[in-house]
Amino acid sequence: MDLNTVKWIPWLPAFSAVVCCVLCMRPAWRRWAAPVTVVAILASFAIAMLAAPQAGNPDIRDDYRTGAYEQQVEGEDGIGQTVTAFRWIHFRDYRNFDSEQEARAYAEAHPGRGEAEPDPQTDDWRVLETTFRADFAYYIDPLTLLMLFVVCGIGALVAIYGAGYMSGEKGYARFFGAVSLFIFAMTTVVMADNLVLLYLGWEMVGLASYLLIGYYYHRPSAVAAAKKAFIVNRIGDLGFALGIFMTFWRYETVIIAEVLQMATSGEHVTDWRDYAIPFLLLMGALGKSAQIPLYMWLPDAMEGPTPVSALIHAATMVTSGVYMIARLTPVFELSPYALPTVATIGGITAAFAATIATCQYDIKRIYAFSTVSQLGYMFMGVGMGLRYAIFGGLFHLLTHAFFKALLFLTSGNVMHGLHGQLDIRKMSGLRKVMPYTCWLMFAGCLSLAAFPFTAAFFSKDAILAGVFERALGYHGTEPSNWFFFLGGLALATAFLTAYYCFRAWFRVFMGPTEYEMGTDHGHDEDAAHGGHEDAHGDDHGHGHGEAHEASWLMLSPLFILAAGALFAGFIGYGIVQELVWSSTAAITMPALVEDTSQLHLTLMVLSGIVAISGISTAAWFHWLRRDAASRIGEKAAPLVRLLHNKYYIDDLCWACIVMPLHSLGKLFFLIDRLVIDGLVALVGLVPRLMGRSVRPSQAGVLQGYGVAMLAGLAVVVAVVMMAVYLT
Amino acid sequence: MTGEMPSLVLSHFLLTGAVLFALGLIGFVTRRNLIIMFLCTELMFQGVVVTLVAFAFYHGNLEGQSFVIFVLTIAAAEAALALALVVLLFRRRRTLDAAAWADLRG
Amino acid sequence: MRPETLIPLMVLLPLLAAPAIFALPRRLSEVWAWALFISVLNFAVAVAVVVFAYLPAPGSEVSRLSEGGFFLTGAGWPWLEDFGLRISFGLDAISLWLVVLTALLMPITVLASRTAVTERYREYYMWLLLLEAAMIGTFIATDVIFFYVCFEFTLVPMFFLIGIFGSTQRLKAARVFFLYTFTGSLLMLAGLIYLAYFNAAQDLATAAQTLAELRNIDVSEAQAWLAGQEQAAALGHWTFDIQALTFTAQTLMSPAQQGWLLLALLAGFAVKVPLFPVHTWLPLAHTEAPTAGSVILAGVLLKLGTYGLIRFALPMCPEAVVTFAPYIGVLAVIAILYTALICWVQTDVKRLIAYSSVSHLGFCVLGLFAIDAERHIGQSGAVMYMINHGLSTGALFLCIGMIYERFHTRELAAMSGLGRVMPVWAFFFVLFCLASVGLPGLNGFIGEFLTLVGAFLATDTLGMGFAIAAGFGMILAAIYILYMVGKVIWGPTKVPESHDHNRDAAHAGEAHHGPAVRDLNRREIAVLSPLAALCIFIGLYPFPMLQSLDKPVMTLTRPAAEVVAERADARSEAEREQAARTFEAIERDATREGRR
Repeated sequence: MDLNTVKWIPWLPAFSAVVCCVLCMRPAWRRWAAPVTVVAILASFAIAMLAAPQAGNPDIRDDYRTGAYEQQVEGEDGIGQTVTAFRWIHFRDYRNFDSEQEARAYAEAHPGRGEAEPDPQTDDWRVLETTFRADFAYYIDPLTLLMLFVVCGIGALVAIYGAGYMSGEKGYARFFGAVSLFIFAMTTVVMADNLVLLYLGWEMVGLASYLLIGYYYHRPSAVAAAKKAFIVNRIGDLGFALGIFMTFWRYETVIIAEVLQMATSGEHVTDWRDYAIPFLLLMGALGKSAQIPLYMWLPDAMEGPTPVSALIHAATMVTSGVYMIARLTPVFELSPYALPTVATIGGITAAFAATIATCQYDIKRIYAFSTVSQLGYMFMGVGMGLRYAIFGGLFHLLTHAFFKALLFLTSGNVMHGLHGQLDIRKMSGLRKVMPYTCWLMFAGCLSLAAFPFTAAFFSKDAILAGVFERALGYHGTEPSNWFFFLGGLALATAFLTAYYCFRAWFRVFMGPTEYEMGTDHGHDEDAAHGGHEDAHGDDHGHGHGEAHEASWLMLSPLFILAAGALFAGFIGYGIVQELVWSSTAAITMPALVEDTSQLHLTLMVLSGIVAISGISTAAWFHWLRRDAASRIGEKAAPLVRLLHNKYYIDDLCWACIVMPLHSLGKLFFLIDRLVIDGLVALVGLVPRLMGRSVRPSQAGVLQGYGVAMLAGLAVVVAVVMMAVYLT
Repeated sequence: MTGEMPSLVLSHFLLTGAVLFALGLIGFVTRRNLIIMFLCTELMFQGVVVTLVAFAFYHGNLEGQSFVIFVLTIAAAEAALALALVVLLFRRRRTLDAAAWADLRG
Repeated sequence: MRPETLIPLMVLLPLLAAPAIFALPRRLSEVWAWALFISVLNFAVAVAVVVFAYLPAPGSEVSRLSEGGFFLTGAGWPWLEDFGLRISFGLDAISLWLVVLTALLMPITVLASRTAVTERYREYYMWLLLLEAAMIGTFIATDVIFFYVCFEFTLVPMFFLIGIFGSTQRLKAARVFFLYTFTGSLLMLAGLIYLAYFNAAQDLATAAQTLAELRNIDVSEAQAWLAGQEQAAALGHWTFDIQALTFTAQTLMSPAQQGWLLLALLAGFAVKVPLFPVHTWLPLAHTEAPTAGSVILAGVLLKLGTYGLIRFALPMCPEAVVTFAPYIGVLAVIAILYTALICWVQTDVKRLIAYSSVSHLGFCVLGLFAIDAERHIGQSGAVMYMINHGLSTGALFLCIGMIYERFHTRELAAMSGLGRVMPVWAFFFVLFCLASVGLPGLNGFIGEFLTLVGAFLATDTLGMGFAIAAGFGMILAAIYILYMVGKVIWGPTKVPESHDHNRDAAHAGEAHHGPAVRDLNRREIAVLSPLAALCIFIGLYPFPMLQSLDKPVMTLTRPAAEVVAERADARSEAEREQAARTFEAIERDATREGRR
């Protein structure tokens, strides 16, 4: 397949989004939205898998250990290829030359830039050339390929699942329209050739996320969550936008390949802007990938339909921050503090979110905090600046996409079967009711807990190994206590991870079978109540009933995901390593000079032990001896409350940022109406007062005007006489 | 200035014009009847016209004269309009007193 | 037929049709149809002008659209020849796009007014068409006084549109609107007349003298340079030609004179824009105006201010603009943040959008004054912003108007969850809201992004701090727009008590089902869909517009850019000297030490 076809990858879903919009119009058309979307995403996936690999440069396959690799990369071909769809934002400015020859020579040396022409106002010559260029152009390299696999692959599976999960909803076509829009935006993010286009995708995924979180828009909590997600992301996006401005200021281009080439050229003299750019871009990544301090939107985002939580808020969108850092690693490396900051934020977020996850009762919230925590792992990986670590970070992105999508979708099955029940205190022993879901979720939990030889075991191990390589000073780095601490933190987090995910699983599926059906169907109420205009949730008709297993349409994609969650480690390890190490993400990283297989083996054993002990703890407290768990919980009630309320940070933000701003708005409105408008009124008062002072002279009596006229005439005559006499 | 009988010189005409103008002005200011007031304005007009003709004669050109023709034409038209307006005003208030129309009082 | 003749046609057509529409037809449907026909015809003429502009001029291969300066000019008609007054007209890409925007918005507002105005409709459509003539006249004028007359004449139809067809406080709003903007522009007129007088008072010899003093060069050199300039021919005559006066002002006026001229121009244009702190007329006028009035007010009339700034202020007083740019930038940033916060606490949807216009136009002004020695991104972005704000905010006012027609209220508290009962309307409303917050892929982004880039990169006038501060406006915009969308579109459905008696009567039988709400009808969809299509199209493919703007914008910003470059040179020169002096001093000290 021709490489040029890759430009259709984003546009097929975009087209499907438009079609879905049209399908919204008639209820009878709605059911076609799912097939259209699934076909569009699958077509994009097919193009991505068939056409995109051709972009790779076959010459760049070599020994990473010698450092010969860097030499080749600096050659002319680069690593990826660019495919332009159409032009977007261009600016042309004049470049001035002192003489005609210079201008002509420049114009000839750079064909397509413009003709040399004389400046009509001076003697100079000038060439009109494009100085700002941001196109709808796509950059394809191995890293893009990896991301396209995740985005389109998981996207297609989730869309198939959604076709079953969302059936019967009034907003069926709306849902798939937004999903298509999301795939358009997300593929744009991972394929963008320039930062502005990346920003476009970046904000559009935010929009899709906003629309989908607010899918059940009659629920005020969903509306609030959607708003929160968009606004918190916007805060990050401001940093990202400023990073783009700064990049353009520094490098005179926003095209990623050119920026990377300049950043890695070696002739690049760093200045303060190089130190600032990564931190600004990082702000965007923190927002999108829900890291401290911009993490609080993600748990709330679980208000959206479960397939959305799986696709957007677990597998793909939230990883775009990780992708962006990986894509721009050479830029981040120009600043000595940027990548360590990334790693530190990642490590702290990972541990922080894991502690919160241990005390949540809502399955989806547990997994949401788990997502924040796992994204922290990925940040740690890409923030290490070492080959194994960044490979681990991106490999974890892939495996996480599998197992977290699986976990969300299986919890969706539970929710679907129990009519919206998500509280793990109100269900138990469901393995008999929904056996497939039970063991599918078990597979996901095993992988999340990094049980030996599951997919995440390998990816998490690669990250841990990277961290400890850095901490111990391998590959030419300085030994560092701080990274040692981060490594320890990551191991502790691994224990917590194993504990909280199995806590949920044992609670839901093990023990005696008893459950309470949810009051909310979790679906658009119009569907539930046969089209009544009544917007208030009431539970007649669907509040009670038997829990049931999900349909095969919903189960079949889960098996693929489960296979990925369990076995992607064996299949993907080598491939992903090849992809990551031959992409721009790793080109500036030190070559693998030392043999660290001993360290890797030690860490594998260690993390295996940690995972198993975490699982055992969970089994003890939440399956075998639940009474012990509740006793401990009562004793440590304040701690549990603190964790359950997420350290009260949301409330703190509300009280310290949102409310003051709102009050400031009120104050400004008051000032606007009283002070500023008052000042204007004061200015208006001057002519009014003047008018009032001369008002009596206008008595309305005709003769009065006559006399005034006479007086005026007299004055004029007097003045003229004076003038005549004086001259 | 030849002979005993002082012949008519420019200043005589100017004086006549000025007297006419002043009479008109005094009448306009002192009388309250709208029609009389209007006639007084006409009187002022004529004062100016006399001055114009006198100057035209004095300078020996026709500019002042032609201007007078203009003024007279317009005065005729204006008289027709103004009298019509006065009649209308009278119908409204049944009086010709100018003080009845002080609506422009500020 | 020469394409130039089409330009005055765009003014004459509505100007002549307006009294005819007032006088001839009787019934509402006839009046409306004629008004629609005329405005559509005028739009067709505007499109024809665009096509002509895209075609290369005879004997050339380059599209005329991308030329700097006025490329389609007509000699016009003499007006007061003794004072050099002419009704002359011309277009460059900036004015062309604004004319097209005006000509596009007009049929849309006429279409939208079909059911909104049922009384005194003949006057209504007459004023609308007169307004169109005046607005297009402002954009095509190449004579300062012709520009000023059209600029002021827009006030008259708008005054009556607000005063007759507005809401409860319409009389106050109309009065405030008129006096506020009129006062400012009188000062502007004074400034422009002073400039014309200045131009007439110079002749070549005195001009050369002045120039030599200003530039620190020989008189003979100045004379030779002036002789080579085409525009210098107008020196010493009374003329009001924009290009001639621009040349005089930028080359011969001292910085102090330019400063006063800029202040006079700002008095007229800043009120119109409106810039903080002279913005308080706008919320009132927007809120009280009828829908069509708000659309045109936001869509076009505010742009007269920014258009005036880029057409007059930037090229005429470059020295002063560069000096004042940081202060104006501060005002723009205050406008962005301050009004954005005010938007957040509004309870009236229309007033919220009105305040948001102040915030948005702050971005536009920020871009205009982001003067950089090498780039013109800020100014081109500002022009894009003018057009895009006209489309998206105009569309938002149309949406609000549709709601007001149905429920006769605009209170946020009175409505909620309309997405369920009016899905098509909700789709459009959300789309325009997103365009308004500057979501990439929609038109609002282009202007917002480019003005911010411009402000960020213009380190000699504005710089990073301004862009960062204004960037917070992006966040606040998201907050207040999503706050509004969350209240109006999402949430539990609550439909305001309708006061529409016609429909109440029609649906009296089913009153117990709750209030019946109808979604958009075909006419209303036809009103909104061209705007929606343009919002998406410009968002994805602004390329041709941006290309056409390059040269005209550069022509207008070049003097200011040169001033920036000169000052930067002077500064670095001074710094070098300072460094050299310091170095010398150190050396001297060292030798003295050594001697000791």
